[in-house]
Amino acid sequence: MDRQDNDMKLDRALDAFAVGEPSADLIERIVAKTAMPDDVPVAGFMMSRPLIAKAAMMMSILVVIVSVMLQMPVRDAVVSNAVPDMSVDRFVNDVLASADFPEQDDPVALLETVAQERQVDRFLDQVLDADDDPNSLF
Amino acid sequence: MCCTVRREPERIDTQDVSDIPDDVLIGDVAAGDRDAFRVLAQRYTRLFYAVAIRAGLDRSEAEDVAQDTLLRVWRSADTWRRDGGASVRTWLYRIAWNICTDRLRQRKRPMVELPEDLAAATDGADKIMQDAQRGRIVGAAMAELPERQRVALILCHYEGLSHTEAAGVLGTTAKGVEGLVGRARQELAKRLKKYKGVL
Repeated sequence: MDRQDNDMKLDRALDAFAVGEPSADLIERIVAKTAMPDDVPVAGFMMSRPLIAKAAMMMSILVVIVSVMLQMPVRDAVVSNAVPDMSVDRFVNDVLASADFPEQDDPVALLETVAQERQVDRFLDQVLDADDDPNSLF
Repeated sequence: MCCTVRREPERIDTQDVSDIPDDVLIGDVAAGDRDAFRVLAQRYTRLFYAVAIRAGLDRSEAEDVAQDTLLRVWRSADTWRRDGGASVRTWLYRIAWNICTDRLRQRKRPMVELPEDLAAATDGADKIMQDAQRGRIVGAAMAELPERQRVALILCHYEGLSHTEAAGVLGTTAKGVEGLVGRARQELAKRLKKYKGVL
């Protein structure tokens, strides 16, 4: 009996929690929103909002994938093969490594030496080739 | 003779709509019938607004909840039958409650707070004032209930849903809803006993 009485009191208290009424024009505002066209023009084409949202999401995913790929080591391999490093320092270092030249500090002098050496080599090649030619002056 | 008939959306006289079942209305809404949507809005806007207010949202947020719920129904009415075979009413309240919950979580804590001196203020006040103050106290006490207890109480006490229907909204069993409502009532009674004249 006491419990029933408490339940009734609680029900009365709960019923006192009034919520009032929403704005008088709320229903009309909601219905009016359904009249808004779902399709919007994008670059001359009519596209639905959900389709635009999906396209935007796909583009975002694509951008993320491309960004990740550009960060991968394969990028370095591809780029270094396609565009060799042509800096003067690198060239001089390569020459020094591949030939047994006396060490020189001046890269210009070194290049002149290389050029002279190559001229001498070419001349000797011509002489040796000419040796086999019966019409040669030698 | 061909027996396949393409059903056109029913033309609805919005002056006499009380006997049109919800599932017929939803079918017509799915077919793009704005008259049917208007009837559905007339039937449910105030209910969704009341749920949101009782959940602890303010007036403007509650109107947003009612609007967002109905617009979601407009856009996805065709998914109702695929959504686990729930009744239209259960499905609608589930959408409303999901939107409500999102808003409540965004604001992190309930807006309503229990004032400390309301017990004294109720003394000697006239009946209307007393009712208004009692309502405020109950609202504040409800806002402090755990979320599932609160929604179970709102759906069963205020909205008149059966335990089974409320279970469909909350994703639990009818027995589970019964437990939630019982605990919510116990907790509320305990809190409200502190306030003279409320219980």
